Amino acid sequence: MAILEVRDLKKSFGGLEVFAGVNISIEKDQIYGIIGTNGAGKTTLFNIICGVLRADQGSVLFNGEDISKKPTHKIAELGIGRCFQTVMPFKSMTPLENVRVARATAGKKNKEREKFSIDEIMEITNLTDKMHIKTQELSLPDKKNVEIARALACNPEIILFDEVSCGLSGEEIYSRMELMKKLSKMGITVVVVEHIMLFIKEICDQVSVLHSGKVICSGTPQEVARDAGVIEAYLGGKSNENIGS
Amino acid sequence: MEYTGLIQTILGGVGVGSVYALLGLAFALVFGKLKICSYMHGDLAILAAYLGYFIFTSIGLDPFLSLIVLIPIFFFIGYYIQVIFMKPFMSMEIWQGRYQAQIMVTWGLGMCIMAIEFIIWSGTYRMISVPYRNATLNFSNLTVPVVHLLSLGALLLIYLVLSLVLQKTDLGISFRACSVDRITAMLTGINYQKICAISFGISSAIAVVAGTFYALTHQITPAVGLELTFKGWVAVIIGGMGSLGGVILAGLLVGLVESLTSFFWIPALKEAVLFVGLLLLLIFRPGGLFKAK
Amino acid sequence: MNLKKWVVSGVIAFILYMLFLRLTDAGFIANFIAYISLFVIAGQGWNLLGGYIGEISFGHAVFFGIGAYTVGLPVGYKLDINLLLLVLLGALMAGIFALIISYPLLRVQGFPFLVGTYGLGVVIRSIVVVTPALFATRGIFISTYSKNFTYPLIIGFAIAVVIFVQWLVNQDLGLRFKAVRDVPTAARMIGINIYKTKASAFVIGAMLTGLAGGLFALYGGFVNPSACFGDNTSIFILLGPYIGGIGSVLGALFGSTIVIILQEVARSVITVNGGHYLMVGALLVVVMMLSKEGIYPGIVKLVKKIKNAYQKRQGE
Ligand SMILES: Nc1ncnc2c1ncn2[C@@H]1O[C@H](COP(=O)(O)OP(=O)(O)OP(=O)(O)O)[C@@H](O)[C@H]1O
Ligand SMILES: [Mg+2]
Repeated sequence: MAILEVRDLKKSFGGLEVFAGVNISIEKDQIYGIIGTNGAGKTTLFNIICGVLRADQGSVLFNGEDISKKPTHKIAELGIGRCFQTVMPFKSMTPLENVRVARATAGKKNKEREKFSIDEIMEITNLTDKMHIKTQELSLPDKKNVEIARALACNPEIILFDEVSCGLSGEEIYSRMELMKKLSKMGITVVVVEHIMLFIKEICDQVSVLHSGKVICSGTPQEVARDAGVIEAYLGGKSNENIGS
Repeated sequence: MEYTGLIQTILGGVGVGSVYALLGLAFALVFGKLKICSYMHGDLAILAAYLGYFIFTSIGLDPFLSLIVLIPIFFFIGYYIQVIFMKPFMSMEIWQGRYQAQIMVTWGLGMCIMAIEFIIWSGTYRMISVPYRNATLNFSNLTVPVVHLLSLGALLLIYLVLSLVLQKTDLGISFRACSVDRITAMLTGINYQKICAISFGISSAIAVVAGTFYALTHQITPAVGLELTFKGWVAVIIGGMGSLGGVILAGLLVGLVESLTSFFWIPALKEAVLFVGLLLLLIFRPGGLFKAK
Repeated sequence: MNLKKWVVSGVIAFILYMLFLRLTDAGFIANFIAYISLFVIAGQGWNLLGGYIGEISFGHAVFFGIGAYTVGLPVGYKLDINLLLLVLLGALMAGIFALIISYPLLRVQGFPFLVGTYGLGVVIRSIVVVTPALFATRGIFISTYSKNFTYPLIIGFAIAVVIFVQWLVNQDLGLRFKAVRDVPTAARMIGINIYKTKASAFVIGAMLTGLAGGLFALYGGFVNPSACFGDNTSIFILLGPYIGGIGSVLGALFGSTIVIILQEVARSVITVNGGHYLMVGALLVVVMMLSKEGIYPGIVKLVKKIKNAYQKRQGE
């Protein structure tokens, strides 16, 4: 059974229709990629899954349970963790406190699912030597690390990463990829939104492409990369091959 | 007769309400669009009232005539308060505590104004005893105080002028641009700080009018300033946070609630009833009674 | 280990005060320190909401007054109940009232909240003033303990409250307060129920403020609406933490002390009724202009800067 399923999702902001019936089904222990051009609605999709925004129509099923009416904090308690596109660590606290407070709330509810101790979380997010500095004073990559650490501390079943590689160096991106692979091996389902195709190709098992309110293509990264519709969406109008022939 | 008494009360309520509405207008102007939160306009209004009182008692000039002098003076006071005291907080975002900082600074200034009034005029209740203070117009068996009619008129006039300025003039257009997005407005060459300062000046000038009418219908004492500030804000909240028309209706409503409570119940409870109403409003319609849009 | 330091300093402070009390025979300064301590307690309560959640309340006098009247009313009705018990009961009553009133108030944020709390203060004061059963404006005299008992009691409570708040804000609950203040969206995403968290800060803070009110009744031996439910009380409760450093325990302690001292000094210099507001208002403006976070964080920052500059020079 799919762990997370989005069914027939519709959402408009005023006159702007972001989703016109989106269906996505994410299997357990997968690394699932979601791509789309700027403004395709990837962040909005995450917001709807987390209950930050409400869909106009359609449902979100988590382990078969409809969560589309639940408040955000209940959804977090069920086991959905999230990292934001614009970083939002708790700035007045240290990384350690960021992790502690997550452990004490959603993390406590999901204790049976605990995979890492606080020390281990600090370790795998490279924060061990910075854990007593106020997050406000950390660099952007470290702030992103704090968010990942915080999300892990909630003991989630599934984590949503919204462009975590944005603004990072090659090496840092690589370590993120390793981390995601590791998480998925440990039984945490990972959903990534990324703009870097290499990233997607390297780690994802399944990919969906969002474009003008629909999922225009779904499949393995290789299949998606070959799909004519996707090429058209990304390159705009006609692809180069069509012009050549 | 009971019936005319009620009508009289309602008219009185509308009269006082227009003072609250004027203050609410002053707040809504800078808050709704520019996200400037002021807690000193009540004190500015009372300061203006005292100055009007001072001018009246010393050289006998009518408060309405002294408005001609006071309005420009208070415009500049407001302008420079914005420039000197508020500027450092204008680049803060809301989550950084922008409002808190603004509230505290303006409130501190308001407290200084109030203290100075205490020092100069002491806490004794004063009133401007102009000859027309108790003048009334009689319609059959209804007597309408002239001052109330004037304040209602002033309220509508100021509202019309403000709306026109906001819709038609360059100032209004830059003002609305700043309200949409500060950064973009600045990038298109609008002097954001200056617009803020001018708006604060205008709102201070409105406070002068409010203060003058308050002094003509009530006795004044320095501590009333904070009370007026809060009544003005209540009007803003009920009126739906910044829509000018809503604020006017809400201000009149606040005045009505107060006078009706005094009429039907105990005058000492008029504010209690008002704020109980506000708390109920927060439960059922947190967005205000006359929501914008 | 940090907490240990606080406890030790608290005990030392208490012993020093006791010595001082003996030496000066409960004189003016010992009295004044007790008075300041009342506002320190109330201010710590305010700070839980104002500083750690970020919602400014203009109406904490309500809780102060509930505490004071819980002590005063039974005395007024000639019931023979232990006063200390009543003080604790007052704190509880304030907490219960906060729990009820948090329902409408916490539905809004920012300045509607501020206006709402101010309104709450007005409502409660008006009700007390017009209700003969609550002794209206006459107030109630309380034959209280001797100064040699009340003063140490107040100081003891003040020290305990400061330590308690310092402890609380480093507990999980305290971290949750800060999380809600920093980024509400992210706080929800880790499973925090924003309303509950805010309400707990509100209720615990109200209990502390209520405690201060009850102690105030013992301290002054008199309660009346203007002293207990007055706007001035709300203002001085909130000014201390705000000027001292919003959201820091030491800052609130520091600020409450400064504000009360300054107010009293100003009162004796500017004898006009209400003139002391000049000093307080000017202080507020100056502090806000110099350091947005208040005196204490401002000083901490300054010291850090000087230290850095010094180290740089040493390095060269
Ligand atoms: N709260 C909102 N109100 C109105 N419009 C919104 C809102 N949130 C998002 N939008 C619009 O919805 C569309 C989708 O936004 P979204 O942020 O989900 O895109 P995205 O795929 O995450 O893009 P990016 O790659 O830039 O992050 C955009 O056109 C955006 O302007
Ligand atoms: Mg996005």
